[in-house]
Parts: sequence; C-alpha cells; structure tokens
Amino acid sequence: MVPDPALLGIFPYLDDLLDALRKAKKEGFKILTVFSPIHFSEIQEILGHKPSTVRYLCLAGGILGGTSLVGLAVYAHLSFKLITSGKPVLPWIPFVIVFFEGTVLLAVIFAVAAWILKGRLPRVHLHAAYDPRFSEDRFGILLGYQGEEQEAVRRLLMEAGAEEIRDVAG
Amino acid sequence: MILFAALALAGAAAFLLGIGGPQSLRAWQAYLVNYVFWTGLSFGAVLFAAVLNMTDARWGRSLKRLAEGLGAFLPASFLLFWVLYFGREEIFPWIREPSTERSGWLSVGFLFARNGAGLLLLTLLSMTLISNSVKADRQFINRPPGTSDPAGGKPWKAQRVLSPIIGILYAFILSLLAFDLIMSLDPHWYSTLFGAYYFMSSFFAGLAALVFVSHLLRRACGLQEYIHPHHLHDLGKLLFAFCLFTGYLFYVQFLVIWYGNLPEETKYIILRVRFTPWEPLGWTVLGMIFILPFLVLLNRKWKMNPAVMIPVSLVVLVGMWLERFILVAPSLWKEKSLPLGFMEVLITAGFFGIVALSLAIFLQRAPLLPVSDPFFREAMQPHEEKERP
Amino acid sequence: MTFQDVNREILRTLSPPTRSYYLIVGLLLLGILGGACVWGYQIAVGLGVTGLKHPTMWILYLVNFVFWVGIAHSGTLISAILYLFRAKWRTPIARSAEAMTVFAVMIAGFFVFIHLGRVWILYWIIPYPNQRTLWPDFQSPLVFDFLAVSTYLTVSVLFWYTGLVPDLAAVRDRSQGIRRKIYGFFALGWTGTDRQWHHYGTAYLLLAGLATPLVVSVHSVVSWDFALAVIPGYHSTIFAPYFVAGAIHSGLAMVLTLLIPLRRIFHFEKIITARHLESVAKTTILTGLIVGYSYLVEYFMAWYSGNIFERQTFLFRAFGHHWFMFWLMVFCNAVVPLLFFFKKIRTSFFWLFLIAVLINIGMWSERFVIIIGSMSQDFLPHNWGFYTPRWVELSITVASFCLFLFLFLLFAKFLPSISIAEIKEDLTPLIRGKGKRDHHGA
Repeated sequence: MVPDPALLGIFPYLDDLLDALRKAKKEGFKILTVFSPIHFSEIQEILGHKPSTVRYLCLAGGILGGTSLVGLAVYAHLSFKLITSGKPVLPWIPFVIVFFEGTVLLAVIFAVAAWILKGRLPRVHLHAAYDPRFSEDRFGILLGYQGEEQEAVRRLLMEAGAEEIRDVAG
Repeated sequence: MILFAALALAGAAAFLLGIGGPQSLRAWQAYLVNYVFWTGLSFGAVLFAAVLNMTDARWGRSLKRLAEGLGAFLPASFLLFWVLYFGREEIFPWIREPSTERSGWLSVGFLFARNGAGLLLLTLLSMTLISNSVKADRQFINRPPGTSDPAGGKPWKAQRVLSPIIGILYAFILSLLAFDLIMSLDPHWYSTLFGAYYFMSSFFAGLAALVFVSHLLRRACGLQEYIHPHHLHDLGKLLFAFCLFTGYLFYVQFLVIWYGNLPEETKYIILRVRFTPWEPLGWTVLGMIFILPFLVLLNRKWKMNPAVMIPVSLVVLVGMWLERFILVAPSLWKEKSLPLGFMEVLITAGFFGIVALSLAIFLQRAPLLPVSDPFFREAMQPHEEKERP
Repeated sequence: MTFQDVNREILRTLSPPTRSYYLIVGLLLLGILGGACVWGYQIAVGLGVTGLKHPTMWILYLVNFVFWVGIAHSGTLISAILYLFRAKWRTPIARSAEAMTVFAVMIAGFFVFIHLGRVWILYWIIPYPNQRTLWPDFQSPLVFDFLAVSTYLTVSVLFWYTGLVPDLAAVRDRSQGIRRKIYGFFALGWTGTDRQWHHYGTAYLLLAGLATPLVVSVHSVVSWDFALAVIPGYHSTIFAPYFVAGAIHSGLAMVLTLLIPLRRIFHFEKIITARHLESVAKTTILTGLIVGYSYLVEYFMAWYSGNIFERQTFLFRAFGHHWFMFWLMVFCNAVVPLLFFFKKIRTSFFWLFLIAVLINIGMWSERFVIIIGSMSQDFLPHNWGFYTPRWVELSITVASFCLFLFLFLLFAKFLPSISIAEIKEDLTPLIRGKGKRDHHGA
C-alpha cells in the first residue's frame, strides 16, 4: 500500500527517466519507487543508494559456514582420535577443502536470502503502482506529494517526457 | 638509467667474484634463481600482451606497451642462459652422479640444445610480436596527413597470428625450462604439475611487475588520461585472480604429495617445510605470495591506489623470487646455514639492473601507448554506457 | 530489436507444446523408466549383475559420474566466470548453460547412488550426530566429494533461480489464471523496483564471484578421488587443473550440442548468432590444448620417473586392452578441436555440431581410460583383470542421457531459455533516446 497519495509517471525512454529522477531529486520531491525492466546502475547512483549490505551478510555467512563445517570436522575427528594412513588426528591440509566448501555454501545461501529479504520479497500482492509493462519496456517513477504539490509533480513528469501519468491513491 | 647500468655492473662483479671464490655454488645458485625468476616474469608479461591480442579485450589496452616493455629483457635473458653452461658441474647434480633411468634426457648436450632451441624460438617470436606492435604504431604516427587510419594493417595481423602461437609455446617451453632447470636439480623427484605451476606463477609474477610499472609510470609519465582508475582496478582484480590461482596450484601439488605419503615424493616437500634452514622461509613465501595479496586485494579502493598497490606488488615480486629460491636452493645447498646474504642481493640487483635497463631503453624508443591498436582507440572513446562494477 | 521484441521472441517458446514435442518427451520418458527398472533390478539382485569384478571395482557408473559433473562445469563457466570477465558473448547462452549445469549435477548425484551396492545406507555419509556413533572421515576424498557436489548443486540451483526471477516476473505479467499464479509464486512478487535491483545486482555479482572458485574446487575434488590414491596413472599432481580443463572442454561441447538444435527449433537465430557459437568454439581450442598438454606431460613424466609401474601403465593405455578408447580420446579431445582454428569450420553449424559431439565422445572415453585403465592393471600381474560393460550399466548410461535431454526439454518449454533482462541490458543504447520526440516509440 502506498502511504501518501502519489503520481506514477511511465516512461518509454531511459534518458527521460533519468532526467525526471534528477529533477525530482533537485526539487526535493519524495521519490517512492523507480520501476525498471533492467538493472541500470545510474538509477541507483542518482537515488543515492549506499552500497548494498548484501555483501556483509554474504561475508558473515561465509565465515560462519567455513568455521562451523571445520568445527564439525574437528569434533568428528576428536570423537574417535583415529589415525588413518599415518596422518595426524586433526589434519589441517584436507580441512582447507572442508573450510572452503562450507564458506561458499553458506555465503551463497546468505547472499540469496539477503537479496530476497532486503528487496522486501517475497510478497503476495504486487506493488500497488505496478504496471505489467514494467517487465517489458517501460520505466516508472512513483512520486509522492502533499496536497498542493500535485500540480508541480505532474508538470515535472510531463516535461520530462512521461507517456502516461497515473494517480495512485494512498 | 645510469643507476640501472650501475646495478647491472655491480651484480656482474659480485657474480664473477663469487664464482671465483670458495662459495662458488652460492653464486651459481643465485644466478640460476635469478635467471628462472626474471625470465619467467618477462615471458609472462609478453603473454599478457599476447592474451590481449587473442581475446579482443578492451580494458587493458593502455597497458599493452608496458607489458611489452617488460619483455624487452628477453634477448638479454637468452644470452644469460648460456652462462649457465659454465656452471653446469655445480648446478646439475646428475653430471657428477648420472641418473641411469633418465640419462638419455639428462645429458648436458641434449639439455642445453633443447632448452636453447626452445628459448631461441620463443624469444624470437616474442620479439617479433613486440616489434610488430611498435612498427604498427610507428606506421600510424608517421602516416601522411590525410590518409585514413590504417587499422588492421600487416603488423596488426602479424600480432594476431603470433599471439596464439606464443600462448601455446609459452606453456610448453616454460614447462621444459622448469623440468630441466629446476626439477632436475633433484633428479629422482618428479611432479606432473611442476611445469604448469612454473609457467602460471611466472604469469602471476609478470602481472605483479606490470602492476608495479603501471602504477609507477602512470604518475611519472603523465599517463593518467589513458590509464584510468578502472583499468587499474581491473588489473588489480586480475592480479587477485592469479594470486588465488597460484595458491591453488601450490595447494594441489602439496595435497597430492602429502596424501600419498610416498617417500620418493615427500622428501622434496619435507625438506622445504620441515627442515632447517628452509622451514621459516617456506612459510614466509606462502604468506607473501598468497595470504597478504589475498587480503589486500579484496578491497576495491586499494586496487586503484598506488600507495597500496606498489608495495603489494613488490611484496609479491620478492615473494616469488624467494619462491624460486626455495625451489632451487634446497636441492643444491646442503649446509645448515641459509644462503641468503650480500652476494644474493648483489646478483639479484644485477639482474634487476639489466631488466630495468631493457625496460627503460625500450620505453624511450617506443611510443608509450599502443596508438595504432584498434581496440585501444575504441577503448579511449568516451563511453555512453556504464560498465558493471 | 526492441525490448518488446525481446519479450515476445523469448516468451514465444512458452506456448503450448506441439505433437512432436510430446512424442520426443514420451520416448525419453520411456528411456528413463527403462533405466529406473534396470536400476531397481540391480538393487534387488546386487552389483554382480553388472560387469563389476575385481580389480575394477569402479565401473561405468563412476565414469558417468565424472562425465556429468564435468558437463556441469562449463555452465557455471559461461554464466559466472564470463560474467566476471564482462564477455558480451555469454548473454544469450547463459541461461541454457546454467540449466544444463543444474541437470548435469543432479544426474551426477544419481550416479553416486547408483554405483553403491547398498544404496539404502547412503545417508551414512552425511555428517550428523547419530546413534550409530558413526562419523565420516573428513580426510577422505569421498567426503570432500559429498561436500563439494552437494554445495555445487545448491549453489547452481540458487544461481540459476536468482537469474530466473526477473524473467519469471515477465512471464507472470503475460499470463492469466493458474499459469499466472504458478509463475507469480516463483517470481516472489518481483516488481523491478530500484531497491530490488540494487540488492539483486550486488548479490548476482557475489554469486558469480563465489561460483567461480567453487567450480574449480568441485572438479578438483572429483579428480582427487583418483589422484589421492597411489595407483600409477591415478597418482599425479596435475590431475586437478587437468580435470577442470577437461570438464570445461566437455561442457562447452555439450553447450554447442544443445544450443545448435535449440536455436533452430525455437528460431532464435537472431539472438544466438553464429558469432556466439564461434566464441564457444574458440574457447574449446583453449581447453583442448590444455588437455593435450596434460596428456603429453603425463606421458613424459611417466617415462622420466623411471618407475616401471608408471611406464607400464602409460604403455598399456596406448597399446593395451583398451587401446581403442585411448586413441579415440586423444583424437577427439586434443586433435579435433584444433580444426576450430579455421574460421570456415567454426562458423559452420554442421561442423560445430559434429566436432562438439566428437569432443563429448572423447571426454567420456578419457574418463573410461583413466578410471578403468589404471585399475585393470596395477602393480602385481596376478591382480590384473579386465572390465567389459554389460547391458545393465550400458542401459543406465543411455537412460542418463535420456534424463538429461528430458529435463532440458522441460526447461526449454516451461521456462525462458534466454535471460530476458540481460539481453535487454545489452540493448540499452536503443532505449536511451531523448524524450522530445513523438511517443509512439521506436
């Protein structure tokens, strides 16, 4: 559900979208969401997103996975203290492989969980302002406004080249 | 340049004094270590240029001439190879005590003939590659005003044909070098991976040298407009990848030998990681070529910062030198003391002097950037599209 | 091509299947069921129904295991490693290659079950606290295998799925009814917001960066199943990179084998062009050369070692009982790919397909030569014995290929076989254009 009343501008051209974004940022309007069929880093840059924290979660998962799998291996070997093939009870050399596999496994699982959850997914109902053309060839900006601003926002979107402007009720 | 010439002379003097003196083995040993290190590095740098030609890669073009410059040492290296002939009795244990099963392969004449031929071939091809690259630039620069860009002329095509040949021969000839000059020092030991380990880690050393030279010369020669931060970032990422790969190859060899526990294989490793005086050196080398670069090169910003990359590449280069040392020396040096001292430093400085001199002379004669390379010109066009991080 | 064209072209393949599709799928299903019955027979009666006998205790099942894990690797190479290298030619083939990876790893996993005599106690290898007071030995390469292959399966599925989510959203938006619900479920409610793309982009890069060393480690671990033994022909330090290169070699060949018909049948000629397939072919030259180098070095080192057992093993490979497989292997893996040096050959679909099939035959033979050859004749002549495959393992091998094709055909019919979002990203310059033009679009 969209909290404020908002206007959705639908753009066929990427440069128009970027233009509108820059203007909206300059004028201080509230950019609620930007829809896009592709990943385009300039959008993130204009919006001023900080580097994603997915990487830290991934690193945490990696460290956790590696250490816990090696921990398991150590526990298993210490349970019986068997000497096989003349190797020490706790051979660090093969444990490198165990560590590596554990690291990659949990790092990947955490990274996937992170991008899904941080993207506020999964969700049952699609975003209220979503238009199916956003997965085809249209871009969208959802700008929130307060009462009087509606005209200004509408004009901004029109001038930037919006093909369609839609009211999304709050 | 004078400094480099002076270093070269000092090194030569130290070497000649050394082989005349009581510890001639030390001098020959140091010479061999330096020879395999610098030659591998030089060929590795040329391989970088060849790979750029083969893959149509755009990012590294501005670094191509610098890589070729590091290959300018190769003719000198070829001459330096023959000096080993005079030290053969000290270097190759199988001359005094021939190894019966492999005496056909490990014989002086055959060894020097095949290595000499291989080195000659690869050196000539590399020089041809480099000279074609420079010739293409000269043609481009000197073309009469008004003629169109001669993109893709004969020198460019020659580079495209030579590059894959050099790539293939690099693997075979450097493997041969490794088997004959390093592995044969312990004639009863063998490892199928040894050749590949040598040529891949030489490529790593060549990359580290390229990093060093790029960061250093970028400021010094005013190349900031052509070598962009993201090129340096990519180079740093490549260095990171080959750091991982070299570590992987080291581990692979180590694991198989450790696991099989066959005495004829393990004695080589045990000598280098358990016995005095080699043990601390072995682990130091691992730290220098794998652990430190791995940790440092994870960071994005540091890869573009010369204040970080120059020291890191130096650590890698010194580490790789020590790595070659620890492959060669324990097979030859049988005493309890570590043969690392003034003589080694001087001889190394001598080799460094020759390499640096070749690089300096080359860069003075050739354009610093591969101006006629069509991918270089393409890479220098302002980009509309954003590249991925 | 406009973005609309991209959606349309790629989603066109999700239309209801034709009769020939049902026919082929039906035949494949028969093959799979046949194989399952034969496996059931083997479980009931015992491994003796195969050709297994001392000393070749590992038979065709291990050959197939290594073969299928190898095939899986180039999918990740194309998807993850080429992504890191920013190689543009990867885009149209990545999704199919990833799917190929997932299915190949699953089939490899099956062969682990199939090669066991007592399949019902397979769970003993899983390291969890149990009242049998049993722990696997984490020092054993078989345990590395278990960890590596299961990690690889998990990671490839997650990587493949991650790539699919935005495309599933595209399918969802163009479907109705139950189809919309199913695709919508798997699309997780993706709407392409800036926040979603932001985290998604970072995660994708991390996944690619993690999958790359994983690929190298998995086939290295598989190679260590052999290299960590002391039998001549097995115990060789070069095995890990040699197997990895061989895996990528066979995988690339399988990519060609699958995509050349796929692009014809689905009319993807404009998206998967000759240039893309040519790049795949050029990469096989590289991997073929690495494999050829490994053969030469192993032969040289066998002689150089002076060890009569090493020397004899390599003589037997070339001139012994399985000489035919050996020469097939050398010809198909190291010699044939060199034909791709000629532009005429690597741009002809016929030759691409033929050489790709030959490479796959060669790589399968290589696994046979290495695994079975070394076991047949090791140290003591009294211990020697030769293996001849019987109908049981041969039919299961055929069934595995049926299963692979079956899964791939299901994928091609029900999921977008080219990554829609990534193709669009490559086409971005087309939709940049300045706005003050008429809004009827390009």
